[in-house]
Amino acid sequence: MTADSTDRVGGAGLLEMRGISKSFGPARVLDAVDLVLQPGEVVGLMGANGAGKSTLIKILAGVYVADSGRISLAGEEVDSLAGHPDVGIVHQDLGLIDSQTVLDNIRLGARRLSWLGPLLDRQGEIRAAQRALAAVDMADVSVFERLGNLTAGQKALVAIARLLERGARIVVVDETTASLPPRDARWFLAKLREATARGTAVVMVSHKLAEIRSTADRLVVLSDGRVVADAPIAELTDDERLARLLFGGDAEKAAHDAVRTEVEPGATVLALEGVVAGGAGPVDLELRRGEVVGLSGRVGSGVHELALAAAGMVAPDAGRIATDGSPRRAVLPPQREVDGVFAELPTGWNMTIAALPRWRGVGRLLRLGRERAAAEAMVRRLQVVPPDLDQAIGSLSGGNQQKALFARAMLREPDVLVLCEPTRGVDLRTRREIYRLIGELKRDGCALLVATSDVEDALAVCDRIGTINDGQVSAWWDAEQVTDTTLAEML
Amino acid sequence: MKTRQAQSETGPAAAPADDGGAPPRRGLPLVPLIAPAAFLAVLVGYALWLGGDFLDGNTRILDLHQNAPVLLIALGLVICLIAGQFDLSVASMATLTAFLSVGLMTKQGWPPAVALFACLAVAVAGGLFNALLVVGLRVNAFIATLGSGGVFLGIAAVYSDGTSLIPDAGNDPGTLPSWFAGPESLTSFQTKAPTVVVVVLIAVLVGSLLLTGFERARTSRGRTLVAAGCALLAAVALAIFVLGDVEVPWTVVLLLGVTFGLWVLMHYSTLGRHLYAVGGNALAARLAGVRANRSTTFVFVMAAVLAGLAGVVLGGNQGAASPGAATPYLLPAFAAGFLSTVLFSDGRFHVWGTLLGGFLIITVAQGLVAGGVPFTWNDVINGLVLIGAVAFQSFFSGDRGARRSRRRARAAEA
Repeated sequence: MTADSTDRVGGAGLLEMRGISKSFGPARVLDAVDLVLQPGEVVGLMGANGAGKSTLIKILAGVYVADSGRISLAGEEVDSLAGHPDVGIVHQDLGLIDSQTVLDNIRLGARRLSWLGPLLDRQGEIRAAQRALAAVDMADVSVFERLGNLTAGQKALVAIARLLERGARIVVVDETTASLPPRDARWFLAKLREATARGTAVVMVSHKLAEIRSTADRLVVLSDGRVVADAPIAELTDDERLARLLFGGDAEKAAHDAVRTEVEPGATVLALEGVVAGGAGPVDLELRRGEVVGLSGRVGSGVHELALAAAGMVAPDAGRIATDGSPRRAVLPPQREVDGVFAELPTGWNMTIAALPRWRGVGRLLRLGRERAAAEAMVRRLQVVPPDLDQAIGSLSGGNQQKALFARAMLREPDVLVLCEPTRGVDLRTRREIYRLIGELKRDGCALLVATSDVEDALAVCDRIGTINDGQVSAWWDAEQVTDTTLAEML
Repeated sequence: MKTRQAQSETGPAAAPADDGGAPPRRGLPLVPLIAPAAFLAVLVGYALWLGGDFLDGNTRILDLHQNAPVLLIALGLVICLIAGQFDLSVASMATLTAFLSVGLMTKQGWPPAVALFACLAVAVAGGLFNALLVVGLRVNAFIATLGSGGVFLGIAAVYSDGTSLIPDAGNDPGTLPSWFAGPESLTSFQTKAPTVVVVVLIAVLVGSLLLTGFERARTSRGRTLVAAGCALLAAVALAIFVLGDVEVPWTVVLLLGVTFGLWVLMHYSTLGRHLYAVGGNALAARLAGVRANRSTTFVFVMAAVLAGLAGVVLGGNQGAASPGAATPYLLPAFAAGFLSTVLFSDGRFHVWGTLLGGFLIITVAQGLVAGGVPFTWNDVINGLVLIGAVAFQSFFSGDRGARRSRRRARAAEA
């Protein structure tokens, strides 16, 4: 794999980042990255998880300061972009308030129009908000409309209008479309294109190649902290090559990482029959002992809701979950900070909470010594660091929290294990350990369901993979047959 | 300086790299010593100020006896707090059962056992009502129990026509039994528990401390230390009891018994662990298979029942009931509950910590009164203790501490 650096824009752009490097401890996350933005240009930024996209954006936003490299804004060298109104970021969650009006949302956090002293210049604000809406071609929406009444695409555009009104000349759209319905996403991107054609530069982070292809002028691909491609979209016609660039041969690497244990699938323990949850479905699916089934879909596609329904944690909107007997089910929740850990409670309690009846003794009282021994064994097996059961789990690193949650599910000795985003935010070593554990559980005859937005996960551990698109399982793949070509289709 | 550097290294820098070195240890290293130090400081300070009489065991036991209702309410409240809920209606529930216990036995002439059972039933119903509001109707617990507290207090007022309820032995159809109220009763300071009960009580308390210590101690040396400490403690307690001529009233026995029972529940039962989990993160608890609604219902009933018990003890102790008798108990009860997050090292609500915290507040207040400060200052002190405990906890642990080390890291980076 060679670094592809064709057509790097030479002249002074609106923003020029040259030789940006950033390390966290021993890990070099960005390595001499160049990024040049021209006015009116839409640049797509792609890369696998951990490639350095978020770090680059955070440097762009001034959250992080680069270790080395130069940044110049409109020809003027700056140390950091922190506090510059020229750069604005729209995240996936938009950062707007549904219960307030469009007007208040646009003015949120803006400098007061203050010729009236401490009083707000309401008329001036209304005019400014109307101008802002007109700038994104949304003049038909009243500024007094409550934001919650707008469509998802309109909301995203309000977020853009808000940034432009504040004087942003560089707008970063960070996976904003990931949670939008496809129709809204297309509408939003078209409008975004128009609105920024007059001199605003857009950096668009997305996992969706089709989206980038239809919207962006140029594509920058990051891999392992390096720019491996930077070329006009028109020149990138070879999807297979792109997929290889994106994953850097990770499909092969992932397959290598997985301790692929060949196990003859056993009896069916759980079956989804026409299950609808979180706007996805109906899905028919059988989970058999010794088999790992994957459901791959974007965050917000309903893939997690389907998984939680299979785990018996939420009732499906429709359909039926048939079980053989009453299999013990355990789940690894999708967002560990929100629905996984008890941050203030000890790591040990976090691990044993789902399996407490195992250690009941006389008078149904817990035998704490045995509970502790079981938790300690898990800490050793999963190499949780630090190996201290009494420390609040919130002080552990994300990867170790994830291991503790894995331990929670394993201590339940489940027949069916549902894993949502098993490797979210963990480093490469932990990722491999988790793959290995999944292999062990599979060999022990557990039926596993992996719900993930990470294609690498799905490829590494699953025997069968269903991809969810627009709420439907669009295709089932046999893990062995997935190639770079099919991978590109899965995107 | 060195620790500062270490902290800054584990700021945001460690997050993306993951597993990069040891994460920061939260909280203060000396926190386990806070509880003993606080007590020692209060006792020594007061002894120096007011003379050695302040250390008299019987006087401190009298404090506990007089405040048994407050502490019972605090114990119920802390169960609620552990599960992440609030109950502002507990003091009103105590007032209500104080009226009912005295009134049903005298004005209505019900047999004592029936009257007490009625009090229990009212408390359970009150707790279920709160749970219905919070779990069933999804009313914010603050508002729900503020309202239901008004209802309970109002029912007490309606029952008593808004005046004090004073038994009139000549004209009432019934009288208060002598074991319930009066100088010979179980609720009186005059009636002491027999020696054997006190010895058993000391044995149970020291025994549970020993068990807890053994769980924590990893080395045999640690275990020896724990055992020696507990033996010493038992010896001191027995010595105070025997040599100091200290006597223990039944109310204090009840208080310690209830605390012990709740501790077993919270420490040794699945339910207790589930309550901590629901209080820590209700969504995560549900996904871990905890029936959160059931847990929440349980804590409201528990809080109401203990408040009801507090009211009954109050009624027996006074032999009468007055409007809003227990209303001033809410603030010190909350203060005791929140003090428990500071007294032990882990920053969590704790049953024994609540009892100790309550005792500490009472001792501080009593000392000030003995030193000549008017008792009207009590609520000022209680309020400050409540605020102080919460402020200390949130300042030195959790988010705040993490945020400060992050800020330092950013400063170092810039």
